[in-house]
Amino acid sequence: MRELDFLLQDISDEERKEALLFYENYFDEAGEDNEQKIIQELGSPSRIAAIIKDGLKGRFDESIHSSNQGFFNENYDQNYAMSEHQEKTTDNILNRLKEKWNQLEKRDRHILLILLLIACVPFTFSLLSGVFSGGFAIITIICMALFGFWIVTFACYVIVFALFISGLFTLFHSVGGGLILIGLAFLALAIAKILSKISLSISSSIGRSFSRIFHKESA
Amino acid sequence: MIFNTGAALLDAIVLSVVSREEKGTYGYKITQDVQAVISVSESTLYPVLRRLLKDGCLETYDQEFQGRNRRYYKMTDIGNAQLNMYKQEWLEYTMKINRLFDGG
Repeated sequence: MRELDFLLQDISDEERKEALLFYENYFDEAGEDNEQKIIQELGSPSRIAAIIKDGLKGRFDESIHSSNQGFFNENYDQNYAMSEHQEKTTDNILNRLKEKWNQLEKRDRHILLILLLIACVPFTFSLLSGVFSGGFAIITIICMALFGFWIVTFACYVIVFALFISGLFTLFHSVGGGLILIGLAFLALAIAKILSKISLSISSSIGRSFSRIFHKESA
Repeated sequence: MIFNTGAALLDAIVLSVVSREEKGTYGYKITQDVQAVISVSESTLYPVLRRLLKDGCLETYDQEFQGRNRRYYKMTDIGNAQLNMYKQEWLEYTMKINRLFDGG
């Protein structure tokens, strides 16, 4: 009854009260013993609500038919099924999809799959470009690691050379300054040596992993 | 022919059921009485009663019954006139058909 009340919110208060009173009375008169039977016969609250609303619009009568079996209104069997469907949409959507899928012909399934793939194409592009740019970034970083250290090492050797030469020349007019420069040159040489060791090990490890990948692929 | 839709016939039946009770009758009993004669969904009768009320064929009054309110439906003059018209129409219609069936 509460659900019926809720479903009838869009009709006037008077009509809603009237309808609810009718059905409340109906249940009262029928007694508790018949309650379940009546609920079953009446169907869901949404069905009753649909009938009441259409009755207000004068649409209900149009489709009442009489036959030997009695009066019936097939529209409400449909409406009933429809509103039942809508009610369950939220929680049953996956099950219904599965059901629909199983009901499909094999050919239709293929067509659907192809349509789905086509629908996915734009996403695929962005995904691919994402993967591609990611890969590119990684390669760039590797290259940076590989060549960056070598460049820095090379720069260090240049500095060593420059310091040593300028130290030698300075020696002629200022022995102390020249010695300091030559000392700095040796310090730079040590740093350069360390850097070259690092770049060597990086290069060889990258090379090894690359060769391992390629070996795997060829194997 | 006035009974071209089931609705008119159902109106006639409901009016006839209500008219049998001098003091009027209530929703559940109307449904039971109609169902005793012809099968009809319990949910069908509310819109019919509601429309008959609006058309002035029926009127309601509330009466207490076993500690609760019971809404009674009662014939009005309009309702009686309408029922008589239905009866007349039905008689003419069935007579014609019967004559036809009897080969007259």
